[in-house]
Amino acid sequence: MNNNFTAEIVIGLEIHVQLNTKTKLFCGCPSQGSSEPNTRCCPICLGHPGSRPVLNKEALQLAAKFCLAVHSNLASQLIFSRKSYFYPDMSKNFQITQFEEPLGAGGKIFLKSGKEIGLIRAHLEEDPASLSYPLSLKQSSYCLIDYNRSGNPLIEIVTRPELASPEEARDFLNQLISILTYLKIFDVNNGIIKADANISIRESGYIRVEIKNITGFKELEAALISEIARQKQLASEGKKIQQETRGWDSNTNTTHLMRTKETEADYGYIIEPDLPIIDIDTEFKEKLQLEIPELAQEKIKRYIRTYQLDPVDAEVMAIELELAELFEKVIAQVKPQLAAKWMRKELLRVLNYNKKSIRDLKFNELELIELLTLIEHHKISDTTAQKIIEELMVKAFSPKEYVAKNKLEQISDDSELRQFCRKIISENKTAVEDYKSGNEKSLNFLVGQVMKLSKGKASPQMVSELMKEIIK
Amino acid sequence: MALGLVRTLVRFWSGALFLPLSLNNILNNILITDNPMHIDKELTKKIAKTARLELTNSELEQFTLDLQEIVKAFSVLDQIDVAKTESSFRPVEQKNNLREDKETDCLTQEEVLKFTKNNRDGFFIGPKTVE
Amino acid sequence: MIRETKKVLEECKKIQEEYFYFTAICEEEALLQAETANDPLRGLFVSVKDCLCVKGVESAAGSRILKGYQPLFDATVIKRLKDAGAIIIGKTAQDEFGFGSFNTNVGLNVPIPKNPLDRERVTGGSSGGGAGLTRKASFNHVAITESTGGSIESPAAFCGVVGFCPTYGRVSRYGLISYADSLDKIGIMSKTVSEIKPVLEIISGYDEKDATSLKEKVDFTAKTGKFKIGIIKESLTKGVDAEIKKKVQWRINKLKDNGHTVEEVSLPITFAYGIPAYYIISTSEASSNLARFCGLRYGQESNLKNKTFNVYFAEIRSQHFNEESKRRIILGTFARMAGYRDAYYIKATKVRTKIIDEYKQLFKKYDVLISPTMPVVAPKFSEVKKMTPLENYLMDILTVGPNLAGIPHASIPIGKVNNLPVGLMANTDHLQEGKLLEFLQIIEDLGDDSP
Repeated sequence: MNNNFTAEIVIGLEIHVQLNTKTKLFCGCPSQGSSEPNTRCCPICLGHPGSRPVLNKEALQLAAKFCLAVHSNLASQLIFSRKSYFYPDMSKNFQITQFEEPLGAGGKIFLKSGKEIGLIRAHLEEDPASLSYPLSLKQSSYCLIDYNRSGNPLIEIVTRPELASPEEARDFLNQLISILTYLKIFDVNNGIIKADANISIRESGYIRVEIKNITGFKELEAALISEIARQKQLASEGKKIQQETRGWDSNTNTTHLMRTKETEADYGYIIEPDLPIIDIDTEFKEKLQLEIPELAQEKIKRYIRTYQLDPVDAEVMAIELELAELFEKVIAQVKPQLAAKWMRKELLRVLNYNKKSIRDLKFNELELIELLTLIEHHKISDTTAQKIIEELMVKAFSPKEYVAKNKLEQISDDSELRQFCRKIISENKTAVEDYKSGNEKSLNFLVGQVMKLSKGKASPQMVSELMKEIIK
Repeated sequence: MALGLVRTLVRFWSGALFLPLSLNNILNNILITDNPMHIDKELTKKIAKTARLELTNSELEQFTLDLQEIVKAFSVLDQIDVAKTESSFRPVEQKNNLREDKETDCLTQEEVLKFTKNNRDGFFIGPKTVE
Repeated sequence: MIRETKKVLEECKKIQEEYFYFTAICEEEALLQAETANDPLRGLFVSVKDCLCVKGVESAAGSRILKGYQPLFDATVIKRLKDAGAIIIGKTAQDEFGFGSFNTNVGLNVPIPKNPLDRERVTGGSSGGGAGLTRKASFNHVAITESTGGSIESPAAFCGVVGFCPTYGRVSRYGLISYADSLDKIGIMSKTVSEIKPVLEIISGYDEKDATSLKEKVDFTAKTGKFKIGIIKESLTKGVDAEIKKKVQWRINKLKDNGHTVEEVSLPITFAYGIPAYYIISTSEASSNLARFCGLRYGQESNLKNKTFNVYFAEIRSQHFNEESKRRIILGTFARMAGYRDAYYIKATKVRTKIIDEYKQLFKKYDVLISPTMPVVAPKFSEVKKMTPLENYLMDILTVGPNLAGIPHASIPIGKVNNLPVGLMANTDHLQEGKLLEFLQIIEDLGDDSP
């Protein structure tokens, strides 16, 4: 690894993602389900004597798909190792993981800014059990162990230390989750993502500190900000930064010392003798490659190129798969630029307000196409459109029928509007003269008069355009 | 007598391989000062700690001697050239045995916890995790 | 069957009083199985080495750290035997976790089993209980046992019974409490050769729960006719009892008389490096296998509140592992530690490749390779006490080769020396169990030269 750092801040991430399989990595226990402790266990994930692991084919396929999608080199053989360490959450006091040769070597993920973040490796491993405590971590005289999680399939992704800020780290995680959800290998609702981070700063000569057990990307950004602040503080006081491992405590928003490098366990790696070698041949790779859809980054480029979308709109439309799919269905009938702008501004607003996600929508593209078509043809006002989308959050209905029933349709007929305009123009000669001599406010007044005359039913945008045209 | 034969065997095995040290010394458990592997009580302690074994003083001494004897004898491996050889992690390789992503029966919570008194409210009780 | 079973159980209890071959006698379970015993193994009573999980029966691999542990499942071989109508009568004694060649490394406070022909001598190990019982039992019985470096053939030789070990992966290891997963093989002991095949057919074959189990067809028919036999010259050197060599020579002469070819062959790499390679690989794997025994979830435990985990784990492990377990854990942990791993663990796996090659080369030319199984007859307990660990390990000199190579091998009684049994070992190439059984029958049919 290249240690010639020059950046002010150097961050590398080790991310553990729970793969979206039905069962655990080495046994048939469900990887999701009952949260009653110790109800999704068997002799294998409990490490009972005489039990032995058998690899879940689906886990391998999902992990390999990820590696291909991020342009890693896929190993030609899958080999597992035993990593020995003793801890109450380890059912065998060794973890079956990959040490000698990871499933995927190298690879890259692009940030929103276009910056390329290199990956060192991605590999398969099993999750330990979950620990909880009767009181706080330090106060408890014992721990409580639940093996439901023990044996869950994880992919560990290790980045090169090429992230230069907590914001970049957060964006990286965002991009990663987009890829994972596009490939359907991570369940955003139920799956868990954990990260360990390695951080160093220029002022200390890049002494590396590891922060462990950060769950979720808000926590990641907070943990990084906190740790960088701590290191900068020490450096400014002229104190030396120790190479150590710290744990993140989201309750106090601080990191605390876990252990110094010297006391790190000797993992005593051996090849896992109970798992035979798995061949990863060209046929396997090609089949998986075909299953990889167009990912977010490619969609963004395509949306900008083909539909001339605003880059910000394009990014928002593309980053979440379900939204992209909805968008692509909608633009079969609606102008893309309008759809993107409106969906970004109004649809997402309403989703965020209701704390819901695209998956929770009660309507689909048909209703949205109807609504957007009405907007496109100026048949309804902005306010009406907003009301309709709010109502659609509750249940699906036809916007067209709703508008007709409630007589919400704007007047958008050209000749009718022109008639109104001419009438107002003829009745308000002073205002027209004012506008001609440069007073924009007079235009608004004239448009307002048309609105009054039409009892609010005229399309203000169209009236404004027509006014300008007629006055000329 | 079996013991005599065993010792002859040991002598023959090591003699046939030109071990530089006198095997008699090893058989009589004399500490070898010329110890290229640096196997001493400190190392044994470190190994025991890694393996979570708490050794008594006499165990520490005995195991250190055992380790020295065994490692010394096993240093015969220095004489074989395996530079161009691949490892065998199993003697017979049945490749590609995988499992479908299908659910199988789990144990009940009762079954899971039945072997230990250290349990509470469905959880296992485990030792402290911080010093 | 019930009456017969009751008689058998009585005999077992009597044998137990004198010889300590059992760690558990499954009276209740046996009588239950007797009620529904079916073909093809109806009428066969089976003892099971303690390291094989039998549901509801204490299965502790001979160790105190698992004392009282009654698994929630049957090992696959056990299930197959039960389904075939065999009756499991009990668990047999062994060296703790398989660590030993004499069955003297029993678990703490466990009595040491005695040789069936001389109670001052060892049974051999680590499957000593199974071998002794096979010899002593007057009823229709086979012992299901296990070999990692010689644990079937060594006690078979010392107790004068047939001990058969198939190809690695032939028999599912699901439910076998591991010693070393790349070396463990489940096998069968019996009084005569013909009893092996019917049981082998039942327990062999692919098991989806054991990812290393072979998908090869279970077919043990063979008609080799005249054998091309290699007598391993390194097995006839100094350090091997001259009387044992004589017994082997007698068979060689008889085989030649009967039209088989016998030539001297050499396995220099196996004999020079087999012992270190075996002990490094097996203890590396074993030391990680035994890490799970730490007073959590099952097995021995104690009050752990207010103890930090390292202290608690070390307490339980140090109290309940026997000396040899600790020694092998230390050796194995050492062999895979950073700084030593390349020179020991990795190197040993490469040496293993060379050893396998050495056997494969010979099998291109020869049907079977033979040697004495053990260099001596069963030693006395007093003699074994004087042996150093290294001397103990070297007792496996004749057996580690086939175990490392994973080839089928067996020990067959070839008479007695000083009234103590002697065994001949025969090895064939991978998957050639049929050929091996055929050869063993030939040897058995030769009879004996003892007075």
